Amino acid sequence: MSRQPTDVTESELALMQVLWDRGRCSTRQITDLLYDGGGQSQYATVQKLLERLEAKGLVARDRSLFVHTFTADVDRDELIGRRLRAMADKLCGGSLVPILSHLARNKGLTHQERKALRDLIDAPDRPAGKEKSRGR
Amino acid sequence: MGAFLQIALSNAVVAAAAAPLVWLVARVVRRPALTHILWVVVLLKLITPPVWKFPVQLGVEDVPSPAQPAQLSPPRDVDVENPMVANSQVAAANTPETLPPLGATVQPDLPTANRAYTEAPTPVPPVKPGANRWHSWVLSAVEGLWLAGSSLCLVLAVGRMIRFSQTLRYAMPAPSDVQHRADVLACRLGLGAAPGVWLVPGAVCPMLWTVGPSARVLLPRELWRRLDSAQRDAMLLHEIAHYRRKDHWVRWIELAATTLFWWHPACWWARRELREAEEQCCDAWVLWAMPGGFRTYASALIEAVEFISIRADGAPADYAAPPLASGMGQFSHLKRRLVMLKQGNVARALSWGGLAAACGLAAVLLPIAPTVAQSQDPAPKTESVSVAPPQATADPTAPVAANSEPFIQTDGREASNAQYRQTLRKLEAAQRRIDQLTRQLQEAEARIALLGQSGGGSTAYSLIPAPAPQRAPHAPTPYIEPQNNPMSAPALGQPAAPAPNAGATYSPLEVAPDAPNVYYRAANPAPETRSGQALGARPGELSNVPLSNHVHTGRPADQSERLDRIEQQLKSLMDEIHQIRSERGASNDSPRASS
Repeated sequence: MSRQPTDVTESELALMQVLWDRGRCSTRQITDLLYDGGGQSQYATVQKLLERLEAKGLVARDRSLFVHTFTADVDRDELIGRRLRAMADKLCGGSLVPILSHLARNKGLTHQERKALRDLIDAPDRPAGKEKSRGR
Repeated sequence: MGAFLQIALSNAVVAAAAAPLVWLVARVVRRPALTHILWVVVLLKLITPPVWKFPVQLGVEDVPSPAQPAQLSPPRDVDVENPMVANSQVAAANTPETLPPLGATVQPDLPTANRAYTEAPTPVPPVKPGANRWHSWVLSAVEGLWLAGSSLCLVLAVGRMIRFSQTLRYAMPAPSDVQHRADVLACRLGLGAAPGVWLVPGAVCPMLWTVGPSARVLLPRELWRRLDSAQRDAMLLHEIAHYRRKDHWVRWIELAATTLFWWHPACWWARRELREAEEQCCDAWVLWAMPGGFRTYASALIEAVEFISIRADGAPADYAAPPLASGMGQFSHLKRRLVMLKQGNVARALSWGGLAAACGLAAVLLPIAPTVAQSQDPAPKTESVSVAPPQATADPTAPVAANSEPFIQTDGREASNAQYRQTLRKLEAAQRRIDQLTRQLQEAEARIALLGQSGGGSTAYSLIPAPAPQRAPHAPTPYIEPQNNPMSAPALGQPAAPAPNAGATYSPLEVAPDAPNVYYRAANPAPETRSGQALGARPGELSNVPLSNHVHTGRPADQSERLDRIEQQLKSLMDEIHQIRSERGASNDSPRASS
């Protein structure tokens, strides 16, 4: 399974959606679903998109039959989530175009930092002032 | 263009001055709500045009002293190279009596036209033309860069918003019980209903998305699954508090400010501080809505941060932050929040005093604009605009001299492009004027010719436009080398004749045989002139009106007086023209040659 944060275009995403919904599909089936009985050019488009997705490792091609069939090779939530995450990072606080109000910045924390924060919560109330002065 | 730069720069300066002030106040007062609103005011200052300008003299070094406006004298110095004027020079060569005096003779009779002619296109004084050009070059480069950056920001923003919205199509609304819970919590915060709650895949933070038709609270499904119900409430409360505080409006202000002032550190600073204050406010709201919920909320917060620190493959990781990412900033930021939460005494909303302070700051900050741009280029321009016209109008009787005098001072200097264009405009105006006068003259000539042939001269005089008769006496003056031009030869001999004959009443019929060469032009197109429609005649034909014509066609008693006046004017004009010519000879390499 590919782990690189491959970027997916909108039309590729639509195609993936078909694969996620239907499972195994041939190019012709996808074309019919996406373009409602599209012609040869649409068929070629879908073919091209499938090739691209296959190159990105998001789609698996089954060559055992005369008509090649395709299946999604990536979990839907994973792909969408990755995409959302990438977009959200770009739309959050430190970015050029912030438009999201969010709970915390999407930047992660290291293990030590998380532990320090947990300690802070669990610490009794008194040392708060000390923590504060260190936090400044 | 210049106005944009001026307003934007003054806003940038004011915001840059206000930002440290706001920061200090925030450190001292420690009220997130107040801090938030103050930073919003700073951002607002950036994006709203000021209404009141107060001058701040900041190093006004190269602004020219008004005493040396150094206007270009309109046509005289430039016509050497200007094709249009070259034409007129050709015309002048053909008809020496005509063109040079034209602009001049008009002067006393048509002061307004004359003023328009000399004054209208004079705004930019060629002070330090080199520096001027350098300045304008830098200015336009800066402006171009600025606007390019802004456009890039805008394109990025719109593109990302669209893509995010598109991706959100693959998210799904939360189950109805979650939505119901959100509504209940929204009621607690004083809202009628909560925004729609959506569960999304992926390791994202809970967030509020307000682009598009309706606001949505986006919750990562995975995180949602991990939290207990109290933590879920806390998280929902936080996002709804954003909505309740109308932070999504602030997002648009932020976006506008960032788009316009992407280079401005104060803008980014304000944004960062604003965000922090905003989160602290929301934290305060959450704690207010669920008293004693510090531990719950804090643990939910850390859970969320941990969640987004986890890679997609499920392995907890030291989040691979890009080099410039503020991982440490995030940590201290979170820590500060937690500490504030723990103290639990943060006011969630603005007090009346805070509101008054914010309004006061806004009232002071928003309208003002120091005109700092005086050290920039636009200022000299505007100043010169106000300076030049009085100069031009100061001496309406001798504008040529007034113009030519400063021109000597600029002699040899490099002229800016603006200057050049200005001169061109002046030239065009002059040319138009000349054309107009030429037409009038033609008309007059046609009438005279008609009179000369029909013998009914007495009625025609009144129809001759004022400028036309004045021009004829001009002919004898030597500035156009009449010897070179056969046309001018006959006219040269004229001046002596008309003067003594001023009072005499010639009949046109008498004159015609006396001075046959006098009519060579006007008489040739006889059919045309006979019909009195000489308007179509070529410009070259107009100047050959014999002086005697003016004399003997003018019957009224004020004729000699008029003639005297004309002669006077001519004298002064010729002097001026001589002067200009000598100047031009001396300064032929002046402004335009170098630009």
